[in-house]
Order: sequence, then structure tokens, then C-alpha cells
Amino acid sequence: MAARGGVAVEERVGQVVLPGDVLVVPAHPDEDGERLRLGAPPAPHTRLLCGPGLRRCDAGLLVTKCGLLRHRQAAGGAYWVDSQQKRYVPIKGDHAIGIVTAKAGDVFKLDVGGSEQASLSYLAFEGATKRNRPNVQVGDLIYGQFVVANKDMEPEMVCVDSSGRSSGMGIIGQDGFLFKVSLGLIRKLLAPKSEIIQELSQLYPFEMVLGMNGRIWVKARTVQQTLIIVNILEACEYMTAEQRKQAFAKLSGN
Amino acid sequence: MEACHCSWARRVELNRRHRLLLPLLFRYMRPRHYASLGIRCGLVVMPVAMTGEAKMKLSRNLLRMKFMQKGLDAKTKKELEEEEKKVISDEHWYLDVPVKKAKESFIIEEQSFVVCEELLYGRMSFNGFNPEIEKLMIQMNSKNKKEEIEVDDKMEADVSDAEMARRYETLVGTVGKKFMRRRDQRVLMDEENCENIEIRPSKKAKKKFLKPRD
Repeated sequence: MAARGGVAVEERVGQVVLPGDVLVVPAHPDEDGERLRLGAPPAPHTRLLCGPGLRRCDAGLLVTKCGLLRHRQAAGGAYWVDSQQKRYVPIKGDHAIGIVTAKAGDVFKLDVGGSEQASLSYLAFEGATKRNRPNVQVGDLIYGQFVVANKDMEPEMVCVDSSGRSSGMGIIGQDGFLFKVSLGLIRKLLAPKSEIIQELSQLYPFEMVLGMNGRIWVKARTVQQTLIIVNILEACEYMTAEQRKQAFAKLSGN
Repeated sequence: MEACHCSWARRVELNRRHRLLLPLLFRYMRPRHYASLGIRCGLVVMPVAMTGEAKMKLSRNLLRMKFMQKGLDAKTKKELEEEEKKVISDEHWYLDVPVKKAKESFIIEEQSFVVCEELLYGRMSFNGFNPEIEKLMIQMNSKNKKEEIEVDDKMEADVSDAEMARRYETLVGTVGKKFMRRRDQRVLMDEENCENIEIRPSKKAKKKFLKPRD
């Protein structure tokens, strides 16, 4: 571990990092007094983003998950750890699919796959008032966003954005098929210009909801088509790009 | 004890309301009630021998009551206030820890992958399965792109002097029109109208229905 301690961040980008590793961040121009001495105007704020799997510490960044260190060069730069996991930990701002397990007075309890059930107020729907309650039944699927998510408190979800509109959140319609994949695959699917999604979209007309908690809901015209898409998505986890292309070629040939 | 009580009460300086009330109280109350009365309204009265004065003093608790505030003089009022402040400040508690100087960090912690990887919105629809969602997809996923475009605009905001001069040249006429006097403006308008009138007939001629020749 001692050898690992204090390695510059740039050197480890794309490599495996382990919990406990300390990554040194290059000194920020604001920190050394040069700016004051020269009397130059303050530089525009460029702040380093330290994403999931990393934590701030005195020396720089402390790694808390094992995986590959990733970097993105945009607006000050961002570092995060790309890890493979199945257990979802609620994060503020994430969109997730929850299953209603109970109606307890003013709140619904949602199973989101985390350690604790999330609560969802009946007022946190578009157009809901005290008189006009949303029609939510136990067992319904709900696509919502976390507004409270930390280690000490019960996570809380809402189905409206900051302007009070639903923008796609709320109860997910009837039928369809819900299944669970790893969190890594969800990120792969949600990435901009994801190849899997682009190839899938050419197969059938279908609808899909992807929750950051690893749940996917799919609905197509027929049950058969739905199941085909589900099977492809599940298989994508373990297929290489080549194998996937072969599978798609086979399907489109039929 | 009982005998004492009566003699104290007479020496106590009370306001008029109390003076009227006290004989009644002492007539109908049993001695064992006195103690509770004293505690209730803070009527702890000191005997003459202890203070050494002819006059008795009322307890602080009694003086603090609302109906006693009228007859108080400025000095005792001040004393009471000070005491109250003292009690309040004593009851505040704080941690005796040296103030930690937090250095402003330029690193932001962000636990969400969505921000780091610029992930898309989770609802999708393809090939017209759910047109509403398709509209929403375009709207939600264009948010990120718009920001990028805005940044580009800022970068290109610097216009060279030559271009500025060229643009300004054309602006002089249009902006100048705004500041012209009404009469001048009218004249200008008429001129424009005349031009339009000249053009109009030609347009009309074009639109005329052409009879097919047999």
C-alpha cells in the first residue's frame, strides 16, 4: 500500500485502483500565492469533480471502491471509479424505478433495491393536491428521482421536477416487463450514443425505462418482441461487441 | 409559624389589589395552605430581624410578574433585567473547541454517475412506439448539448475591429431612424410606400388567372 500511496492522479487513469489508495491532485493555481503576488484577476472557477468511488482527503483523493479510474476533461475535469456492482445505494438526483410496497397514510413506501425502502409523498406527483390524490396501488412501478439520499436518513423520492412538471416521471404504464441488470450495464446503456441502444432501436418499435438502480422496464407491441429485447439486454452483459453484432444480424435476418 | 405569618403579611408592601385580597385569603385558608401560596407566587417574605429594616422586601419572583411591573421604580427594574440576562446567558451552552479554519477546497464531491459520465435520461421510446416519450427524449437529452453550444458562443464572442466597423455601418441607418423626428420619419415611410406601390401591380399581374387557349 505504501508504494501506492501518493501517486499522481493522471498516471493512474484507466488503471485499476483499490480502496485505500491515495491519489495526489496537481496543485491548483489558486492555492499558491502567485496570483496574489502578480495581482492578476482571479481565474474563472475551475473545480475538480470527484465522482463516485473517490473521496476528498488532505493529500488529494482517497479511493473507496475498486475499479478502473476514469477521467473526463471538461469544466475543470472529473475523476471517478468505474466499478462493477449489483447493490444499489441511493444517490441524490438519480432516477430510479421503485415498486410500491405499502400505502402508509401520506406516503408510499417504495422498494428501490437499496438497504432501506424509499418514501414517496402522495403530493409529489404532477397535479396532485390534498383532495386530488394520485391513483397508486401496491405493486405499481414508479419512476422517480431521489431528493433525499444519505447514509443517515430514509431516502425520499419525488415524481416532479423543480418546476412541478412530471417530465416522464410517475407511474409506469400497464403491461411491460421488469427485470434487473448490473449497475454497470445500466450506465453502458445510458451513455450518450450507446451502441447497444442504437442497434436495438433498429429492431422493433418499443419503449424502455432505465433506472439507475439496475431495473429496466421494457414494453413492445407483442409479448414475444418484449421478451426478445429483454433477452438481448440481459445477454449484453456478457457479450463482446462482436458477439452482439452477430446476434443482431441473426435477429434482423429472421 | 402560624402567628408569624400574619405579622409578616401586614408588614409586606403590596400594591392595592393585594392589600384588598390578603385579609380574605388569611381568613379562609388553613395554615397548611400558606406554604403552597408562598411557593406559587414566589411570596418568600423575609422577617424583620433578618433584613434589619423596617420595610419588607418582595421576592424577585413576585416582582417579575406582570401585574407587579407597574409599580416598580427604574432601579429595581434594571436590576431585574440584568439578572434575567445573566440567567439566560448562563443557560446557553457551547463547545469549548478552537475554531477550525476550513481551507476552501477546489474539489467537489459528487456521488452520482449521471454528472460524471453525462448519462442520458432513462425513459426511451423508439420507432414511434410512444410519441410523447420520444418528444421528451429529445427535450431532456438536448439539455447537455445546449450548454456546449452556449460555451462555444462565448468563445467566439470576440469580434474583430474590422467586422465591428462593417456591422456598425449598416446599423447607423436603422438605429438612426429611431431617433429621427416624427416628420422626417413620415417622409421616409411615404417613400417606402411609394416603392411598394410601384411593385404591387406587377405582383397582381403575375397572379392573374390565365385562361387556357383552345
